[in-house]
Amino acid sequence: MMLTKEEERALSGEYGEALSQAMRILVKVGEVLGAERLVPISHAHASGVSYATIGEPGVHWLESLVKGGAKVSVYSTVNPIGFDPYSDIIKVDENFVKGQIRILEAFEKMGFDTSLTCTPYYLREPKPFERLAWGESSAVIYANTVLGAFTNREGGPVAVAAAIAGKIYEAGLQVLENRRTDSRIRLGFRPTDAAEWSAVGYAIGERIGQGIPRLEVPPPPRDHLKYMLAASAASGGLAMMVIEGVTPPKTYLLGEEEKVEIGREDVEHMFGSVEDADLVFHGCPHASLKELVELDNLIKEKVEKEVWVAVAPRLYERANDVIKSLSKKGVKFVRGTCLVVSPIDKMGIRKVATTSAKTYFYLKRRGLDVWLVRLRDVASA
Amino acid sequence: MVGEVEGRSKRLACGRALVGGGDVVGVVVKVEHPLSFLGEVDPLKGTLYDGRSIKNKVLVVKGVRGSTVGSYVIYALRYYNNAPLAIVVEGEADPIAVAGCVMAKLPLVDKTGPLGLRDGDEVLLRFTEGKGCILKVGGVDLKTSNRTAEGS
Repeated sequence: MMLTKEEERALSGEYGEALSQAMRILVKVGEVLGAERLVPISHAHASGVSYATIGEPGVHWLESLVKGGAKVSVYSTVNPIGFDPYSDIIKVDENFVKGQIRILEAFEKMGFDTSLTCTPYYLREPKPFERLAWGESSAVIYANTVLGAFTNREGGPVAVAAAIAGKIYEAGLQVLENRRTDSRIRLGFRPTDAAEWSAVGYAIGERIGQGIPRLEVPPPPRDHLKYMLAASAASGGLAMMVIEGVTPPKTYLLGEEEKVEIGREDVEHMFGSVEDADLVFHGCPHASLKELVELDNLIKEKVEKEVWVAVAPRLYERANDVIKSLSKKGVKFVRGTCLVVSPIDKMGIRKVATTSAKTYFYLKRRGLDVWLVRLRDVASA
Repeated sequence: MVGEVEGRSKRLACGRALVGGGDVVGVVVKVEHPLSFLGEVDPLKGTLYDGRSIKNKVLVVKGVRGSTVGSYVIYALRYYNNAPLAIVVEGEADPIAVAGCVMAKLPLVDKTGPLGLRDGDEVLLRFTEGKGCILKVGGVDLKTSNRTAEGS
């Protein structure tokens, strides 16, 4: 890889051990992926922030970076953590809380915005062609597809390294030539709800696994797209789709496309009713203000079941009125976390009805009984 | 020790040294499929999915795959003092293994091609000029039929 003199100095440790290690990670990963240089980024977003995911060794690594003088050099945010630090809705033991707090303190000392959300694009929306180093697969595919920004799916440590260096290797989806469609999805029906779109995304990811599909549909609302893209990134390894009228022009190329059909029969089997659920869950990825307003309009009286909605802590502060209204109607909020990264199985929750096929994918793998419901079903819970 | 074993060695191949180090001599543990560090390696015990220990061994794998959390698993092997001496990937390494090995300061060589090694073989891993070369210094074949040095 060709490095500038400044980059060479950083790599050799002239500016401290932390930056040196960050550069080593970026240069070596770049080498494996065939990059010829590093390029500047505007925003890094780290995943792998939950104590449940990275444990004691993860705490140790982050603290060692702090000791080595690590500081972020660009705007940097972090993913949700393993419990809601603002309430006791998700029960975890004391050891877990301690470990999680040490993780957050390490991120804070490095200068990260401890945003605790999987939707960093609600905090600062990247523009087309902006280079990012984002972890969190659902945010990556949203950035590439909806916003036309350029990012690969970075693992936790690589995103942390990129935050410190302010750079990323130029390979994969950082290169326009690689942002080329290779399949074309035809939908046999018109989804009308976030959960239906989510199921479509799940089916796409499951069917094609990897690659860049082009979806021929009239542009759905962004919130619906968010659910669809997140699910496709979970069930498959997708990092980008192309949707005409949505994906900014010139941020992608059209390639030779294999035709794929998705019909109603491919998604219907994932749905069930709210009745048998221990918990009804919405907000994976974290809900937007618009979704909260929609849910508030849908719920006429009061929900009887346990209904949780996951939101970013900052949205919770900002959306005071609608939060109050929904809370009065019996809806509970989980802030800065979600069912995917928190140990809810240890709380005795077994049956989950959710609007998110991403949640469906991960909870099923953990052995929970889980199915999809539409947003209007959540309102009648 | 290195000089002593090199005399009766057989050079197998050189690959790309992604994370370098000094010479390593150790016993091979071989995994015949692409290894996922998350789920197939237990950092607390230093064992593979099938119970074989990789602590202080040379872990030779056909390839690597799996969740990005795998980088933390490699780091956890070091943290719990259960790390292998080095990892050799016959195929191509991925960002997960690379990031993990940089974090854990664990020598990593890839693109060696099939090495024909098996559990119990003893190898010398030598790092020179961006390459990692694997020399077989002990094992069933060497002990019984081939004790003469080959190559350089």
